[in-house]
Amino acid sequence: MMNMRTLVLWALMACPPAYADDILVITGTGTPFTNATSKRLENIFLRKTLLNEDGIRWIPLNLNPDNPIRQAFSDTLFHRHIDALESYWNEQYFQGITPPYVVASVEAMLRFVTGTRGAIGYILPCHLDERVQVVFKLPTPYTLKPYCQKPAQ
Amino acid sequence: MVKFLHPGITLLLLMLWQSTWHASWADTSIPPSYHWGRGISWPDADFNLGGYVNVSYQHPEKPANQLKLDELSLFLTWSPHHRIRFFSEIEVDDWLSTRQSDSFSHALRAERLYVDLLASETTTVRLGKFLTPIGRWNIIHAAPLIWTTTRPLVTDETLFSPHLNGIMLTQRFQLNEHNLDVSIYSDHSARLDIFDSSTTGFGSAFGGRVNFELSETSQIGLSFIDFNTEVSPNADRNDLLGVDFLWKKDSYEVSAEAIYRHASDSQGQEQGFYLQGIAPLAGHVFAIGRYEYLNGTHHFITTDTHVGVAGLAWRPFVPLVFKVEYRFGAQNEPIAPSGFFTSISMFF
Repeated sequence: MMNMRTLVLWALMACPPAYADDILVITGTGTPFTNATSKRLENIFLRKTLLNEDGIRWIPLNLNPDNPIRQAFSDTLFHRHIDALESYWNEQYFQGITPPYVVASVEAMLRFVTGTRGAIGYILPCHLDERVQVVFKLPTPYTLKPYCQKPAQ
Repeated sequence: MVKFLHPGITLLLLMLWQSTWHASWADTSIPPSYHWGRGISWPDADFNLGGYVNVSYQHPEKPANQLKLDELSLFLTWSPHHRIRFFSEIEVDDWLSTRQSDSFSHALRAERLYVDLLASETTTVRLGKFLTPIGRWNIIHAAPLIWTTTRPLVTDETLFSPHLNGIMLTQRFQLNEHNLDVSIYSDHSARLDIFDSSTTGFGSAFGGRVNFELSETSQIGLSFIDFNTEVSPNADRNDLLGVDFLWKKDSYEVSAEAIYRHASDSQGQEQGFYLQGIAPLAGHVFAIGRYEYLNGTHHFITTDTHVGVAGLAWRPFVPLVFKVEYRFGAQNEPIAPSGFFTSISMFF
């Protein structure tokens, strides 16, 4: 069931604007992450890389599939829509690898990343606060400011 | 299984199990959940239980028809420590059939049983029983993942054992933002495979595989293995070379695998390949076409076989697939008889 936010995002994706918004990839302040590149992030969120440089297990997080930030993140980092990744996750399931955990909201993402070593997620710049550190800025061709309301506390 | 565990090992496993329940902070824990096609997960313990089932109906032109439960597999994954990951696949293989049913105890086997030691973010050491990394089909051979009920000849277990028992080291490199995975392994199935009663296994083997992501849509792989078989331990050793290719984009897919095997004695040599294409039709229905060729001494039988497969697959939901296909060919009857083949398979 496609909601209004999804329709708006798809309309924006069909006509990418000249300007770009960023998606911030975040970890807790106790999780080291140097030399971040989009390929390293892709490997972490596709769970090809399971361990970080400190020997701690990565715990990548996702928002719900109908969340426009999740859709923009998937399209920008993997260059594939969420549905197109299902066959990949089917193959990984056969290898004992399951997709990243899904959290219900941006605030849940912030709380989980703050409280769990190795957790890594993504938010918009307007959601950033002192609880987390930004490890990578992912420029997107999509306008995400309409989804910039502060997360419910 | 439990009777094999030493009390000390059992105690260690219990301690590791308990430690994982306290790995995450209480206020950020994710509750256990079940998702169709992804199994049941206990995130706090990093534990997952799932599997798949496959039922097929085979209607070849020569041998009798057959309805059978091909596979009922159970996966268990558990990471008791950041650097340790257990995986097992316990399978009931070819158990119930209208032609000839096997006893449950004989059909039950450990398809995979290994532990991954994550030495670094790019280095993994695998110990135990795992799938032989030759080509792509054998690594992802689960019925819900593949497009046809029948299996290409160049991936068949009469050519090489689908399993290894031993150790494998895998190292990932990045070349210009492309992943390059290199694996080397050593096998001694004759001594180590205590969970399998089949006779198609290696005696011993060593080999390697390289897989390179050419782009986001295509990959190429090279494989090599030197082996002898458990049933003919005194025969000459075989060398097998393989090359494979995969291209996937917008639900279209092209894949190919080619092999060359050689032994100096009566095992002879053989070479072959398959080329398979997938195209989406409508309503989650896909068309499949495959051409196969095999030439040489296949399992001590001289062959020069051409095979064609034309079929449809309907994937109404991500974990579920219905397949129907017709196989035909030239000089194919002894090893790949012509006929209709259909199956239903599902991850749970």
